[in-house]
Formats: sequence, structure tokens, C-alpha cells
Amino acid sequence: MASKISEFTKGIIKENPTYVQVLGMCPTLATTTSAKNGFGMGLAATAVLVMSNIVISAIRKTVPEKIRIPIFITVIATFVTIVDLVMHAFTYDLWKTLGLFIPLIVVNCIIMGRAEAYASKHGVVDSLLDGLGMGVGFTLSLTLLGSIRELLGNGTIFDIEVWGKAFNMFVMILPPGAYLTLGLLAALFAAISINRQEKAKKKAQAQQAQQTQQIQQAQQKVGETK
Amino acid sequence: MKLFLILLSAMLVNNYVFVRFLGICPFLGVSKKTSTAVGMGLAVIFVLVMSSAISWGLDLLLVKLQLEFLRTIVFILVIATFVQFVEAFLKKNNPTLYEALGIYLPLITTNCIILGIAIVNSLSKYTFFEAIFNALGAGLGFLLALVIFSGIRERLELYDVPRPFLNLPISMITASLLSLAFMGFQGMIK
Amino acid sequence: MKENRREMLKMSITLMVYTLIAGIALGLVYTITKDRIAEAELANVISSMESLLTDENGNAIVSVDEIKKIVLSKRNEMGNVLFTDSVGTVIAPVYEFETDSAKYYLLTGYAVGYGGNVVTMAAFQLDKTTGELSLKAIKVLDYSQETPGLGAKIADPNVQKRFFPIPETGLSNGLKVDKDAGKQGIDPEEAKQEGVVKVSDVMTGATITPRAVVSSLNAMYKFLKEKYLGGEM
Repeated sequence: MASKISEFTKGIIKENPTYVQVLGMCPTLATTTSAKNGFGMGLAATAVLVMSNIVISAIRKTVPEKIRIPIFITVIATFVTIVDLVMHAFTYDLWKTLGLFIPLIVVNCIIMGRAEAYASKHGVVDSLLDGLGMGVGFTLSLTLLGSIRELLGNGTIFDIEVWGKAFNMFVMILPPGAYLTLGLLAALFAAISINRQEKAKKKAQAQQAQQTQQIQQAQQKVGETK
Repeated sequence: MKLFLILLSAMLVNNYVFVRFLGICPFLGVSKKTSTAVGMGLAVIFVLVMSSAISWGLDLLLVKLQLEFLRTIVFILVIATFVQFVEAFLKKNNPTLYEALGIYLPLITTNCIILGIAIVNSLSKYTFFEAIFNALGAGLGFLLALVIFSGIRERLELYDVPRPFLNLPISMITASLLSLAFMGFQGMIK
Repeated sequence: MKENRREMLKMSITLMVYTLIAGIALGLVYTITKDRIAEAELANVISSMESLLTDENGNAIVSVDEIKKIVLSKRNEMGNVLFTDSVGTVIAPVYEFETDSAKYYLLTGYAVGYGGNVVTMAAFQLDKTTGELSLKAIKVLDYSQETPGLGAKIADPNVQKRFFPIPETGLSNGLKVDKDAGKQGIDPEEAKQEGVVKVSDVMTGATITPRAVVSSLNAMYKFLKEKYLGGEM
């Protein structure tokens, strides 16, 4: 069971698609002008990711290797169109805001990446969890980015006024701000992971030193009793 | 005249990488060396223009048959097929470039700029030539962005970047400054 | 060699089968969602019209049911081009409403903005006593191709308020954005009286988008005054 959980959680921090794997950049920068837009985009992409992971995993044994890419593309494009139609019908305003980027989910490298690297090699349940985890990680990354840009650029989060027009760095909503925020957040993630690695290294070194010491002490004792 | 304006707009004022956020994924992987960047840019321009032409024609058919909802699928399959051709062609005629581009060549298929332009062309209801010029402009803008970026990155290799900032972060911050610079083109087309 | 051919054939057929299945699945979803999509689009038009047909106190001038009835009755005309003056275009249908004091004409039009068409719906008011045709209110319906943070600011209701109400004296010579009229220092309310839309302070660095809205409004006014009310309809 623990391994199933880790299949899901790895997509959130350790293998976060945005800041660690550097996938799915295009929608990340374009749709995060506000927390709500980033969140909506994340959900749409997650829906496609989960569904395509399931189907691709299910058909993985019957797909001839040479044409697997076009077939994966067909599957993904089908689900994207379905999500597009459903959003057009039931979530009109969000559909209008996300606009061009909904069909662009097809070329979101995360979905193709996971299909190729994971779903085509693992069972349906694992692929579902993997897709869900990556999708959640992606959604969280987008929402985080969108919240920061909205807060600094507009003074609101999810349209709720925090400090309103009192302090606005307008550039945050514009393209340069997008790149800047993404860069800084990525640096943050990298710093956290480096920190973790250093700590783990130090711990391992300390353990080794301890072990060496214990061995030396044991040897000394043996030497003494002789 | 209008055609030229469309081209300039797609290339500079509305640069697809720095303003419209399309075509960023290969950005980070290919922009390490200027020679690879140029090769990638040219390949993308080729696929862009050709697939835009074909998609334009197919879109007319789709609209006539009232099958617009098949647009995404049709476009992406056209693009995928085209990239296969380019791959086969390069493998035979220019194996060095083929090797240098490596995995990024098939990845042109997932370059959002290509599908993006095809869709923009159909949404804006461009005529055939307007669509071509739009694609050309976008491709040139992409090439421009890639070349500038790789030039800067080659320099960055020689500098002492703090560890957390290596690769993605410093690239993004550089892109942010470039994006700021490109905003200077905003008022250009009245 | 023959093996190769057979393999290729087999692969092409597999690919076609998958594409066919995908096409069928999509066709199914399309037929299921088609009606709901049409409803959503209509609901969008109706709610825009509701917001246009409210008075200064926020009360509805025309009932929602009345609006729904008229929209549904004219839904087959939607999208046809009625008029264009080479900059702005007016599309069908023209929605008419009447109260005791005035007649209202709701028109939809578009002009080319930064990245595509900017679509606006406008309510013109024909005062029954004075016979004046003024611009009562507008709503920008589609600005999705404009740059977020710049041209897309046109979505802000406070920005759109700069475009109305405009008396006929302002409309008759053609509306202009303050930058084009050379009157950047003008007061927003004064500007409306002169047929100038002051936006340079709320939409800095983005003149193309408001200019597109103004162009479409001019086309609508021209069409309404000369063709529709002038007796040519």
C-alpha cells in the first residue's frame, strides 16, 4: 500500500512536473494570470492526463511499437476534445478565459511524457495514480504561480481582495512577471531539494563516522582483553 | 502591406515566445548551443509553414462538413506526420544535425507553437496567404528568441551561478528580462 | 520485402482503426453536448443583454422573460453580417425593446483588435419625446485574443464605463479614443459629451483594443441611424 501512495505523491514535490521535470511550460506561463485560471487549467489538464493514462495503459499490450506515438496522440487528442466540449457546455466562463490553451493541452509535454515514460509500461491502477499525482502536482504548481501573480499584480487571490489596489506590481500579470515568478519558484524548489540532499549526505556521513568509531572501539576492546 | 504587418506582428510585437508563451519547452533543452538553436529554429519554421498550409486547407473541409470539433485531432495528426517526414529527411541528408537535435526533433510535434498557430489561423479566419505569413512570422520570432537565448546561455556557462539557480531558474529569469525588452515593441504597429 | 509491406499495411490499418474509434467517440460526445453548448452561448447573450438593459439604479428596464423570448425568436439570424464600413462590422440580429419612454436597440458588432476580433454588444436608446438616439451602454463580449494585462483590461467594467453613456451629439461625428482625438488630458465625463472615450489613464500602452471597440460602435451607430431607422430595413 505504501508503494501505491508514493506513486501518487511523487508527482507533488519530488518529481513535480513544473519545477523539477520542467514539463508543460507553455500553459504554465500563459494561464497563471490569476489563481482561478491556473487552477481551472490544472484541473482540465489533470482530467485529460488521468483518462489518457488509463486508456494508454489498458491498450499498451496491443499497440505496435512503431506507431505508438501517433496512437498515443490520437488518444490524447480525443480526450482533450471531449474536455473542450464539456467545458464549453458546462463551464462557459472558464472555457472562454482559457480559450486557446484548452486544445493546447494536447501538446502539453506532461501528458505525452507520462504516457511514454509510465503508462505504456505499467498497469492501469498504477498509471491512474501516477496520472492523478502528476496532475495534482501540476494543478498545485499552477495555482501557486497564479496566486502569487494575482496577489502581487492585483492585490487579490481567487478574486478575494487581500490588499486590493494598495500595492500593485503590474508587471507580474504581464509576461515578464510570469517568467520571473516561475524562475524564482523553481530556484526555491531547487534550494529545498539541495538542502535535503545535503542533510541526507551529512546524516549518512555521521552514521558512517559513528560506525567506524564503534568498530574501532570494538577492536580496541578486543586488543585490551588479549 | 497587411501581410507584412501580420509577419512583423507575429515576429516582434506579439512574439510567440516572449509575449504569447508558445514554444517554450524546447527552449530550455535546445538553447545551450547557438548552432543547435539555429538548426532547431529552421526545422520549426519549416514544419510551421508547411503544416499551417495543409491545416488551412483541411480546416475549410471541416467547416464545410460541420465537423469543427475534429479540428484538434486532425491538426495534430498532420503535424505529427510532417515531423516524421522531416526526421526521415534529416536522417538521410544531414545526419550531423539529426544527431545534434536528438530527442528534440520528434518533440517538435509537441511544440505548442505549431498547433497554436494552426488554431489561431483558423480562429482568426485568415486567408491562405495571411495564414502562411503568420506562420512564417511566428517561426522567425521563435528562431530569434532561440538564438538570442542560446547566445546568453553560452555566456552564462562561464559565470558563477548560485546552485539553486542552475538551469531552469536562471533561464527563466533571463527570459523574463528578454520578455521585458520585447515589450518595447508594443507600440510599433499602430 | 514482402514482410515489410505486410507490416506497414498492418500498422496503417491499426492506426486507422484507432482513429476511427476516436472519431466515433468524439461524434458521440459532440451530439450529447451540442444542445447544452448552444444553450450556454444563448445564456451568455441573454445575460449580457440583461446587464445592458438596467437603469441607473440597477433595476431591469425590460424583464428577463421578454429578453429570452426575443433572443430565442431571432436565434436563426445570429451571425449574418448586416453592415460593414471597412473598419467595423455589424452582425445580425438587431434586438428591439420598447418601454413607455423609449425604444432600445441592441446591436452586436466587431472590429479587428490586437490579435483578432473584439466583439461588443451595445444598447442604443431612442428617446420617444426628443427623438435623440444615444448610446446607453456597452458590453465587450469577446477579447480573448488581446494581450492579458494590456488589451485584455477592456474586460474591466470600470474601463467599459468610459464608453457610455454618449449623447447623440457625441456619436454623430464618430467616436474617438482620447489619444486619436489628441485630448489625453480631458475629463472622462466631459469627453463623453464630445464623443471622445478617455481610456489612456486606465489602459496605458494599449490603444488598439479600445480603438477596436470604438470602431465597432461607430459602425453600429451608422448602421442604425442610416439603414435600420432610415427606412432601408
